[in-house]
Amino acid sequence: MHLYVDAVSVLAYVDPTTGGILIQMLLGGSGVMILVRLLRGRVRALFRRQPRVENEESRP
Amino acid sequence: MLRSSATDPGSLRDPHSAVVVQGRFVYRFFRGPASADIAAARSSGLLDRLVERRAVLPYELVSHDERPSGWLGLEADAVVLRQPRLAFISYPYEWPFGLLKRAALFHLDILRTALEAGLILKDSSAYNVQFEGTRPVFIDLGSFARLEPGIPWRGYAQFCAMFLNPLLLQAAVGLPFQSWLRSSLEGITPDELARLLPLRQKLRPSIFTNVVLQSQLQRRFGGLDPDELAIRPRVELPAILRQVERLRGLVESLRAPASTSTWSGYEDNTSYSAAARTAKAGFVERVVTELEPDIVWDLGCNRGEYALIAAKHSRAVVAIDGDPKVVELMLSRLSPETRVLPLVMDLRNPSPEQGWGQRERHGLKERGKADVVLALALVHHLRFGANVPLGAISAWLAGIARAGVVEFVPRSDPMVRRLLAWREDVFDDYDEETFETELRRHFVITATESLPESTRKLYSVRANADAA
Repeated sequence: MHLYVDAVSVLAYVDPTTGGILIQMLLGGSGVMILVRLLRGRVRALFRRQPRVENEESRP
Repeated sequence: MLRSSATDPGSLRDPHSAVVVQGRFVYRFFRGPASADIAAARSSGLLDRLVERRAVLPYELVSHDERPSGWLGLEADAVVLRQPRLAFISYPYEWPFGLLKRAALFHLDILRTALEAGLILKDSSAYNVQFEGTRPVFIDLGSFARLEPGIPWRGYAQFCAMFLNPLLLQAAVGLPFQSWLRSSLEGITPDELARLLPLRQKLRPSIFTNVVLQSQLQRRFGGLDPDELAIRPRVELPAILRQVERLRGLVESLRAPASTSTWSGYEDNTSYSAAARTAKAGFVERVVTELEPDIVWDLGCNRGEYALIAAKHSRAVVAIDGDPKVVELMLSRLSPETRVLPLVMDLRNPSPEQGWGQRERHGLKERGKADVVLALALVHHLRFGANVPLGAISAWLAGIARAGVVEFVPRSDPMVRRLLAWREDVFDDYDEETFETELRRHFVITATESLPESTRKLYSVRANADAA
């Protein structure tokens, strides 16, 4: 039995998810260090976004 | 770009490997990075070790000349492997708890074996596991990839969604997972499961980590990439192996809550005398022996008594029942070498075609026809329990099987009286004569037997030559 279909080059493979990756890193022994860096990174990301928004708004 | 008129719709997601089902074989193609990966899987001895363990079906390398026709554009350096076809394809949303658990443990074992050989699995889809009888088989050879040191196990979240969480839904929350998985082909997310888990379960360390914590971290940080998080995700192999071991321990500890079900004991115990049961078994055995079927479908198999008989005289039996607890009971009676695959499926609403283009996952009908169908103690349930007319039942059976054994249970039978107990009897068409007339529309009746000490009657039927 043949199954006919147009093969579609569908994008990537499985999404490892942020949560999934972070769990592994936590379990992997990096533990507390990761959490600290995460919170730092989160804070950094928040600051990074604000200037961008301002620039867009100031464009005519 | 891979161009093919014949790739299996279930294999469309990986741009570097594809599957073609043709004749008696399944062909698997590997191009680009995938051909290097499969080469590593072979040269490391991993594939052969798995074949030896019967975890992977035996394979042959297909030379350029032997490649199936109709396939266009395959590079000369692509690798083509060929394997025998399985008797029946089934899906996680059809498996009883015990089989999903077996598949989960099996998947982790394959992963561990791969890791020890310097490879890893690209994904952890439950659709990569199939069953021969009740024995799991790993079919997605394209999932093997060379291990890159430090790269995390990408399949972990998918393993949780497709294997762990559905098992936990049943073991820790008490809800069967089949309906959920049927609609959500990607599985159950940690967030969804966390909402249902009782507090007591959430506090179990392994569940807290893999479900609650994962769901919380995904909520807070999901959608951000590593750059935004200012972390470099790096996980070493020993950590992955430890995690696999812990997951294995967790899955191993899970049990489907046992409880009684209305059908699991009743029909078996009260409907047949010993003489009737013997006669019924004898009739089924004679018919199946004579027809020598490849595949038998036992619909409404209950505890599998007749499926086991059919298994002695066929290549494979698929035993289907709508009650998950009954199927679980049947599974517990089966030895690993018995060629019976027990599945949970409501025959009033059998598995539909699903996935992309509605073609990735086949419906029940698309996986037919069965050589023989056993419709024992089934028709009266469909007629009275689901209001399906006899003509429709007969037509449906003819659409899915070439021959079969069908049992007629008349009005006077205690079971029918029980089914009609609280209902108005509007079923004018339900009698032996109408039943036989409807059967003859699609089948030739080759033998009948009235069961002793019972009003029930068995029919051996063969589909009309002109039935498609």
